[in-house]
Amino acid sequence: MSFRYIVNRLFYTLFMFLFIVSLNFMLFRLMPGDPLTMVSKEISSSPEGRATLERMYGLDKPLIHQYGDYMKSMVTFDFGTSFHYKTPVRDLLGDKIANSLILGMAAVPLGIAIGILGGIIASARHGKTADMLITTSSMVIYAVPTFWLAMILLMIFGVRLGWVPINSMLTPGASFATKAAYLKDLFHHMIIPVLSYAIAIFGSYLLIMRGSMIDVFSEDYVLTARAKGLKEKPLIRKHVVPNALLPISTSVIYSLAIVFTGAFSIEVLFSWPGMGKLMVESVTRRDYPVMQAANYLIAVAVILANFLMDIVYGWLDPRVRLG
Amino acid sequence: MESINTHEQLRKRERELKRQKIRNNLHLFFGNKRAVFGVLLLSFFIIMALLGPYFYKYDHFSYYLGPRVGKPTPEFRLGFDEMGRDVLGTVIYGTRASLAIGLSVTFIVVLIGATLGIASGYFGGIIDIFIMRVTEAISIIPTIPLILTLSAIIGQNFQNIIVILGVTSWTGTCKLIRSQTLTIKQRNYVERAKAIGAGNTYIMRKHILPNVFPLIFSNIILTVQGSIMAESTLAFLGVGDPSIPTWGQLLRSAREQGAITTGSWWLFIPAGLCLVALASSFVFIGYGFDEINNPKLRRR
Amino acid sequence: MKRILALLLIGAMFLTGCATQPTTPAPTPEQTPAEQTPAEQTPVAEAPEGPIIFRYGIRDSWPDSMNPLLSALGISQTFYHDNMYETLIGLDAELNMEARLAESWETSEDGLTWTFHLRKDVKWHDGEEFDADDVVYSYQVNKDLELPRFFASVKDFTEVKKVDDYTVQLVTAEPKANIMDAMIDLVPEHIFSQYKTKDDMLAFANESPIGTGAFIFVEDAKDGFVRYKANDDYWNGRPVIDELVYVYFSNADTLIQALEKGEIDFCGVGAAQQDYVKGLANITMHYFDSNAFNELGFNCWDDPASKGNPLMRDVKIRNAIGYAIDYDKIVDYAMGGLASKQAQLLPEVTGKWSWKVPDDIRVDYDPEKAKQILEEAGYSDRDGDGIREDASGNKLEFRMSIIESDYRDCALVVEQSLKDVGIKTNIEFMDTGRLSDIIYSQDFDTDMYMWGWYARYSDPSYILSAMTTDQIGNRSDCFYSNPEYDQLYVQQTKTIDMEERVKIVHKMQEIIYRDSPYLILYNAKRINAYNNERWENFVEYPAFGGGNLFNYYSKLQVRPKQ
Repeated sequence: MSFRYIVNRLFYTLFMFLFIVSLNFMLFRLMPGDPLTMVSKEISSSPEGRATLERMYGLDKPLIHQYGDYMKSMVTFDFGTSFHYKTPVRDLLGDKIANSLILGMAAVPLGIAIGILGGIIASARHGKTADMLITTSSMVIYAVPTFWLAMILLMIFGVRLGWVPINSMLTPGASFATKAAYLKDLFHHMIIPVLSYAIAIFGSYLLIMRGSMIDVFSEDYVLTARAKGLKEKPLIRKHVVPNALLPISTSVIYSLAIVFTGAFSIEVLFSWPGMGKLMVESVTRRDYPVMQAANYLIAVAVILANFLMDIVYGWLDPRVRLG
Repeated sequence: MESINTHEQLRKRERELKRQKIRNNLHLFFGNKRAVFGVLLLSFFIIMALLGPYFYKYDHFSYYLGPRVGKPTPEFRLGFDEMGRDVLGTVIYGTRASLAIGLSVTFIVVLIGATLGIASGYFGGIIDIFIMRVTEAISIIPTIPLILTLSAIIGQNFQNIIVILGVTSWTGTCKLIRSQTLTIKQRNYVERAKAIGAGNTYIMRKHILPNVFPLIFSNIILTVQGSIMAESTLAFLGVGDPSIPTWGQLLRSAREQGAITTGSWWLFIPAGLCLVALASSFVFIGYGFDEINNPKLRRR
Repeated sequence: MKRILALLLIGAMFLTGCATQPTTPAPTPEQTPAEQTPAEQTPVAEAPEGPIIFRYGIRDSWPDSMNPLLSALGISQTFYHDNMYETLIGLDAELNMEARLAESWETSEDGLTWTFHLRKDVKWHDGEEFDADDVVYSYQVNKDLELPRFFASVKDFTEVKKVDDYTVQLVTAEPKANIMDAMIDLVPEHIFSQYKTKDDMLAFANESPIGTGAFIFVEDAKDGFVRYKANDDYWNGRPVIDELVYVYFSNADTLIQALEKGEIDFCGVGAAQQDYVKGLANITMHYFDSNAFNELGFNCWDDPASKGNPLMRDVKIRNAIGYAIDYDKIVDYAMGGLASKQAQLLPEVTGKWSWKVPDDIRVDYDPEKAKQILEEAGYSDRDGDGIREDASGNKLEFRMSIIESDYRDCALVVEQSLKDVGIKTNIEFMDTGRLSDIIYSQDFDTDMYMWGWYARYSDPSYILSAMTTDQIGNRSDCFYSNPEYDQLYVQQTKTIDMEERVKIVHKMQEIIYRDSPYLILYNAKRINAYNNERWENFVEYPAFGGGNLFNYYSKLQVRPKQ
């Protein structure tokens, strides 16, 4: 891997980083209203009281000053205190990210795995009925809106059959005497969200993998291998799949890298207390510290993921790094 | 000797080839059963959108036709929503909104994406770098909070939502068009055109643009599908225009009224099925185009 | 080689996905509180042996600060402060003053000094004695540091005096009739006084709150639940229940399901779920009028800077609108039956403060009358487009700014009603932040809007003040200005004689009724639902309008079904 390549990517990454971070700050201040509008009707507001609140939120400082604080906090990872929850944003995000990860790290690899396997199977039977069935159903499932899918699954398994609870992440208000009880409760609550999430994403992976496999099937070296008498299954396993995986390896890495940013549709519908839900709610509440920190983290994750993608792809595909 | 290839004859030959190519492609396309089914499905919705108003009267502002979230009756086959509106009417008329949004947003996406993508790919150099950086930056910002933020700033009526969706979704198309432009740029006819002194705009317009489009048809179709989905997701969240009937809003009502637990299926099953059907039709068609472009994908 | 590695990479990720079970659980599994038996706590339907736990399910935004002096959201009172902190005087079910931490009190002849005699057997949750130092500190600190929640309540006191260990005097410059507005949560001086500067106090989150109330804080899992245990030494008698748990749900479906399954004992029910809950045999529903009302507000600002349509300032148009709206449809459709049409500013649940609208001036749905008023005022449809104009051709076309999530359906009803009488409404949907911005920062760039208030049971001054001239730019959102009203407002704050004061308050409501800067659309009804197989002995509070079953008295008295 050429040094120049890495340095090049690094500079690019840094530039992106600064741009996003500043955009982040500006965008939210452009929004009409501020966090105080949420509370102005509730308390016996007085101008003095309001001024105190502004001070509490750090909104009384001039904009430049706020920007400076903001930039400093981005570097030190000290994101201040949430306007709404009154707890340090860092702890809050830590919690929410962990929750999103729980959901994501179960669902995303599952969805990707199903997609890849399905793509392999479909492509191996290219042109036959099985292929038609698999591909068409993937397309239809891909076309289903995520939140609707979740609603349907919820209705079937939660309401009609009563198998699973339809509330959030854990039974509210429960305390668990043993770790096993906790895990059992969590698992109970996880099934449908994870299922919905995985079903929602496997479609595009399947179709892309299938396309990739078919591309590889038509390559010369496959023809050669067949001519040499290699049987179909080992052929697929040793030659076709690895090559077909190459183009989508980058998107897989990318998907996994940003998993903690939360699948917003799923989280909102299932009231899963993760990052996606938090972000949406903090926009409505104008909770600047949370919004800024969340966007910042996501931007960092995406940029890093891109960077990782480039490097890994370069490493895996000799053509890129030597060319 | 006899046949000196005049410019006239060359051009005629080119046109003939093109027509033949289109005929071949159509042949291929319609040989693909799934794509044909997609076209039929889409036609069904288009007909529903265009002719619906003639066969079924519905006024999105006539409320109180039945009890709040009332059950279906023989006269109102899909019951009522929380304002007593006719749900069947909402579903039929919602088709127009979905198609309108899908097409408008895609138009904006292609407009911005094609302009920037072709310019970026064709000119290269500093223009390319600049455009690509901006594109990347915008694609990194998380979409939903961005849309929510924008709609809080400029309002959430129908037109604004189209603009917002268009302005936040063009990055993928732009990148794709750029990479296709890079490929086409190398082709013979472009070099030839340059050699005889054709201007850049001319080349971009007459050579690159028409040749890029077939390659991105699939992407365009899927963008339509994507924008229809995006609007329904936004409506579901409350970022919508209640004065226009859309399927997403029915689903929002469904959630607000706890339709899952109370069993008010008419609020969320028909609208959802329509969304799936319309979106599927686009997906079928889109992948049909894929198979035209990529011969390997066709049936063996 | 590379390909194998690639496969391994993906395979590894897949495996981690399957194998991942949370090692950092969030929220963390709690330790069972010391008093409880270590038996496994299963949150299901069988009646728990061991401690009596009352679970209240709530679905609202999460409260903000645990520091009662900084807290800005009403929900924080329900979740936190009402359980742990107390005031000098409270209100009984008839909304008359009742002793709490003050056993007795009196006013001086000139009405300028209030003397409170404190209860002597009260201890803070950490064992310290409650005495006059705490009271003096509590009032003084809010004034000195200009703390957001209570500053407006205490700024009228010129002096806060400790007479002896159990007697405190509050002195004002003018007679203060609305003393109930000054009943603030009393905080422990020995804990709070360490935070001397404004910034220190603003940073004090009070995560282990110590109060005098009936319940002692145990734990708080943000966005999950809050747990309290009963205060054995509570001066008003130990609550019957041992533990009080607030459980947070983020949507209505899960809330109702939990109630049905017995995972929670009590919750509120929304319009969409009421039919479903009616069918549950083990759940009792209780309807009551709440103190929340919603209004159609008009831009009454006649300052040249106002960007509102000047026609909105014509009181005839506002009156006509009052007759044009089909209130029944709002109640039935927009609110799902959970509303009662009330038009006076202070809802009936405020008891004596609420003015009864005389029948002869009552405004009800009467579109013909609305049209008549408009015609007589010179607004008719001269060009046949269905919209009325005035003599110079200005159309009766108004903008209405609506918070989508709260008032969407209500707005649609109003739009339709107004169309029927020849007024065109252009609705713009937005969120709360934007509406606030439009009114306050953009020179009130709209004509109508909808919003709501909670009328306090304690004292009418708060709501009444929203219409005064000097609250323009602060609490007033209609920017109404009427010198007579302003004068009456000041007068009622000083009239100590209750009967006199009530008369003035009624007069003020009449002025508002006639002038219509607000058109009160309805008073919200709420529904309590509780598990009747497990619990009994709830108290209705207040005694008007049905009364909310979840209140100070119920928390003390509710007991498992015998």
